[in-house]
Amino acid sequence: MDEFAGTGVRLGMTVPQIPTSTTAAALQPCTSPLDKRDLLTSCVHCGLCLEVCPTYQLSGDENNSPRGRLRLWREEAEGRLQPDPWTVNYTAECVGCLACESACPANVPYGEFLEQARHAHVAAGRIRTPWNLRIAATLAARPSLFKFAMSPVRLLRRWGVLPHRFLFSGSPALWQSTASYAQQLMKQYRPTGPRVGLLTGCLMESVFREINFATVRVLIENNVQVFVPANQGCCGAMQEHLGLDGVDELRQHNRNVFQHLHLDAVVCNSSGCGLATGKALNESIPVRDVLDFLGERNLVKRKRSDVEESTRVYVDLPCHLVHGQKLAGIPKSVLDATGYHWELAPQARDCCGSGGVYNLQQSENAQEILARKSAFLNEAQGEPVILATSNHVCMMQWNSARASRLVQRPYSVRHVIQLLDPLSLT
Amino acid sequence: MTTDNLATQLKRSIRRGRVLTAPAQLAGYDTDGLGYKFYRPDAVVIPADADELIELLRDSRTLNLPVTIRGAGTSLSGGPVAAQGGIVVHTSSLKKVRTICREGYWCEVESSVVLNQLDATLLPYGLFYPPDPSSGPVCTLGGNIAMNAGGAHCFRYGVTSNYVLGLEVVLLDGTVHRFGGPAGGRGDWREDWKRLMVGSEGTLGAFTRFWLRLLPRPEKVWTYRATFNDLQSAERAIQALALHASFPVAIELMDPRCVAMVENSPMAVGLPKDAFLIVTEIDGPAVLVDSRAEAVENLLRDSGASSVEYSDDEAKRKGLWKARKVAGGLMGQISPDFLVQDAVIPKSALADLLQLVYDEADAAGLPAVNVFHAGDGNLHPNFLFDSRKPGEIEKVEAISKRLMQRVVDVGGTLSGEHGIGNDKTAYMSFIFDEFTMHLQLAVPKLFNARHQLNPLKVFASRRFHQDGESAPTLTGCDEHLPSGGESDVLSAKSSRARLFEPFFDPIDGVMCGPSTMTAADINSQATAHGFRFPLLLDPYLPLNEQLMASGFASASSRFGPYCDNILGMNWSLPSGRIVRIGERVVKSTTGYDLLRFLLNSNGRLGKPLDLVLRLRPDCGMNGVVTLRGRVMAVTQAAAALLATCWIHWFDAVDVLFDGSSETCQLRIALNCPVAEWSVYERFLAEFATNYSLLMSSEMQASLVPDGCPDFVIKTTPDQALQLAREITSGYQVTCVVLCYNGVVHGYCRQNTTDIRSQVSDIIDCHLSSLVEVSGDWQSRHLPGISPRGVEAEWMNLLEQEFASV
Repeated sequence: MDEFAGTGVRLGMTVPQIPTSTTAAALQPCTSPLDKRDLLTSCVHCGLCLEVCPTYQLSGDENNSPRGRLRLWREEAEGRLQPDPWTVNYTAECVGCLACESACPANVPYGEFLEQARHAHVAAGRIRTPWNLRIAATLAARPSLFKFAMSPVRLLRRWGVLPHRFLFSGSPALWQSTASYAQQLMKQYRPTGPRVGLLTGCLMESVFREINFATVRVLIENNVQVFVPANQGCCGAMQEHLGLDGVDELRQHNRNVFQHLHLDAVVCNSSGCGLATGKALNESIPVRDVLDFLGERNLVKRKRSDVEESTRVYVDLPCHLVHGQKLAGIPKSVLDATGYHWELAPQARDCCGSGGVYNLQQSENAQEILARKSAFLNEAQGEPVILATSNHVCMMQWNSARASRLVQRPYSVRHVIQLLDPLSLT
Repeated sequence: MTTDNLATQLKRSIRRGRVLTAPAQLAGYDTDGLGYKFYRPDAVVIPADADELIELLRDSRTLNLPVTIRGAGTSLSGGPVAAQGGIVVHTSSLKKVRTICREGYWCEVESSVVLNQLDATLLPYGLFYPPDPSSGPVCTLGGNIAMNAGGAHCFRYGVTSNYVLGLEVVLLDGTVHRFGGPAGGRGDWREDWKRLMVGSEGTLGAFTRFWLRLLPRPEKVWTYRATFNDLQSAERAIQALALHASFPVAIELMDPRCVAMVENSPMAVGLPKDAFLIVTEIDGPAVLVDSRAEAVENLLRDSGASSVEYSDDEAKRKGLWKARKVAGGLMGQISPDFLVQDAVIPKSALADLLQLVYDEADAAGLPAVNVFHAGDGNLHPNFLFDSRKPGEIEKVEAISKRLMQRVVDVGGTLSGEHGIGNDKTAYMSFIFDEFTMHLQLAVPKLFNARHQLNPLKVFASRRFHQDGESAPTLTGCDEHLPSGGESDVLSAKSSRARLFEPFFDPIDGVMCGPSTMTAADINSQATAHGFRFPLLLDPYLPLNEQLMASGFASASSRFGPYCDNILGMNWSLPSGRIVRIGERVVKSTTGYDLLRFLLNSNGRLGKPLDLVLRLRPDCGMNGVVTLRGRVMAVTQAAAALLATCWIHWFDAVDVLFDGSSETCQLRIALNCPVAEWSVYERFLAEFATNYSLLMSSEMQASLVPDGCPDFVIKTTPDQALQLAREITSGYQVTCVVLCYNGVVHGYCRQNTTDIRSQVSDIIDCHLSSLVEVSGDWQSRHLPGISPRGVEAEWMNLLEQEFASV
């Protein structure tokens, strides 16, 4: 086979030499932190992020895509573009879903650049944060005050009065905190399994506390020891979204709170908070999504009545779970353990438009993104239909699809942990 | 013109879409996938629909600025950038898949449909569109067709130009033309203008819609990953794969530098860092491809592979591809910039070229890695550099120039699938001499004479001259040229004429001979090396006469029309001058596709003297299976057979109507290893039973060509059988239907007194229905019809240009 008659060509007569100058050492990927300018150049402009970007899909404008924004940030950083209001606009229009990070072959840390850009724009006064969001962020950083301020909302939810499109139904405890509830159950059931700390979250604890309670019940039922420090604070995600100062202090506070508890993991039941807490604890303690954590255990399975046979659960995967925390999704064993017939929602890995406070800041975009994603519910099989996810902000956004009449049929929005809850049985 | 004035003017035509003029709205558009050359446009427009795009081009004369059409901007050659400023038109709103015709094997899509979205849409139909560039998740079909994109799987399936049946294009005057359509013929036109449009890199018009040819999706895939300690063994494996009866769809090679790069990264897959890596894939009907799986493993081991892993499991296959797929992105992690070249070479020169890449890169102190489509000889050397460091761009460009010169010297070409853009214009004079350059530049002269569309691309001399400026002459365009610095025309003047000499290359399976050669002439060289040229209409007639009779032969079902199997030619111009058109490598997107245009033209622009043929491996034996039965049963069986992926493996799937109104026959020709004959026979026997057809098979029998037809009708595959049936029942003719191509070859009875009038009658009777689907006809007995209207103008101009060489 080496020689082919007719051409006199010998295959491989000249075997390329591999000089040492350009082999392994020279081709080591960048693993050490580079300065911002170097990291910005790591975008090779391939464009693979365009199609996964919800704002590029909406606008068809390349500046409104990750590749476009990175280009604008780099141009400004390197002085070739004067600070321009359009740079701020395109930055503000980003949902921050991080789907581009999953699509990026060059592993560009887009999320970090986005945070830096948002912070720089606010710090330089190029964008003004609306007063209501500033107040919300200030309150979120003071959990006791926030919980107190939100007590009327908890009350309204208990009464079944849902005056805002983002408020989904539920019955939160009015005054008992998750910390005290966890202590009570720990004493009662005395689980002996791994020790986990639960991040309760500011909005979750203040408004949607019933999900935290369900989380505690499911963990303890599955023999997990749950510790809920009462003095824990906000994860800082909201400040990050808004480009505000104070994120480092919030992260430091939670580091101090959790690191002395001898925990096997800190678990979060909201993927956005989980992503932010991961940055805060910085690998000192593993930070796990609670469903992913439960996926490794032999879960108690719920049995459903015949009445519930026709129920269908459509599972949506939060962006900060699959793109932020880079998890494959919600474990199948966990979803099976709910006892329901379930399937992934169409485009489950795509953004629903919630994006932290994006649905307040860019409500028009958020609604359009949701409209495309939620349309399937109008025709979805099953009666009743449950839309389940694992991030309270996504739950709020999905709930608004009904309130805004994007979805014309009745459906309920639930956290997956609520479907595992022993008290969820009818 | 001020920015405000420009915005106001643009908003006259773009009322519902967007007009972007602020500096931070333009910055996102100042580069493409090439990523290190920046050209800021004066404005960007995003038309809301095709109507706005038409309106914009209608106003282009008044705008008097360059206009560059852009899809997803993933080009790796500096294609969709505003190299001379002006307006970038982003067609992101044209995203509809308009029609999928399952029985006709075509679809109609808008120009900005994303490649992988089309694939997802076709999946439930059991069909696919084969070209698969790595940017599939995001690149648009408009970009693919403008650059004649390829991909890993085009080793067997071919490149974009093999799948474009038609396109709708808006010219600079705002007129909208459809060249081709569902049937892939010429329709109302006399010439095959779509051939010039495919691969024209946005320099001729703005595409709005396409009609694309589809194939049944393969049932089963096996992927292989093999490592080799030396290039010699890897080359041996590439050659053995290229000749193997499993016809791999992809043969990809990574050199040790690239393997080391992957293995030193978090994406490591556990490969030895000093190995050459081959990833290859076979597909087909499960029963067939499963029976080949072990043979391919043995082939790799026998060639000297140090390890072979293979699987048919989806997840495992993905794992086997991983090292190949992550390589491009990793370059971005280790280097601020990289330049990937796209040369295609005769495979015999692989070691020589790789050595050159290593020597040059090492001498310049720049890392270089190679990861490429080895089956096609389509190199992708990647040079890693930092454009912020003074002198590095110049170093890379100097290396590229020397590399390209060597590529051309060994018989290769500049680009196989990325296009020329403005990245490779400096090397065009290596390929085109003074005369061929003139012919190439005659093409934009027809549609875009002032080079307002995408100036400075493909040829550096294509500079837009505004109203009031004098038009550039062929020798007067030496200012502001892109890197490389030379006017392609000026330097072309000094280069010698390059013509094909007769040759036979048993490694690439390519040969060159006179256009008068016969089957015997071809076989006398091909057979000894295990090759064949399957596209023959007549065993004795010279090839040029066969080409004049039809663009298709029975084996076009598997290998496409003649023009997809002829790579290059020496062409005799009307003036008597002989020029070289095309290449001798299997893939080229260097310049306008005059090759296919001229091969399908009616002789007014010259004739072929020598042809470079793409040969196919001879798998060992030929066989013919005939299924006879009632007309209805045979036509149903033919349609059902086309829907299976078995048709990828049949040389011919023809239905013969011989005048009987009751019966006809389905004829299937095969070329396969002796051991596989029984597999095919079993499948076809079962098939015959299902459709109550009488099967007869003849092992070791070649398909006897039917001879040159008296007339040819091209329509869609779903209409061809009915059409042939109507013709045979109305006239005393025999029809052979090339089912997948939608081609009817008609043969008049020998005793027909007036063939011309009979053929005229047949054509007249069916002309309007043919034009409707952009079908066409031809007959060696009838003169071609003269073009009319704007086509007459274009042809006159083209003839003048050709005559002046």
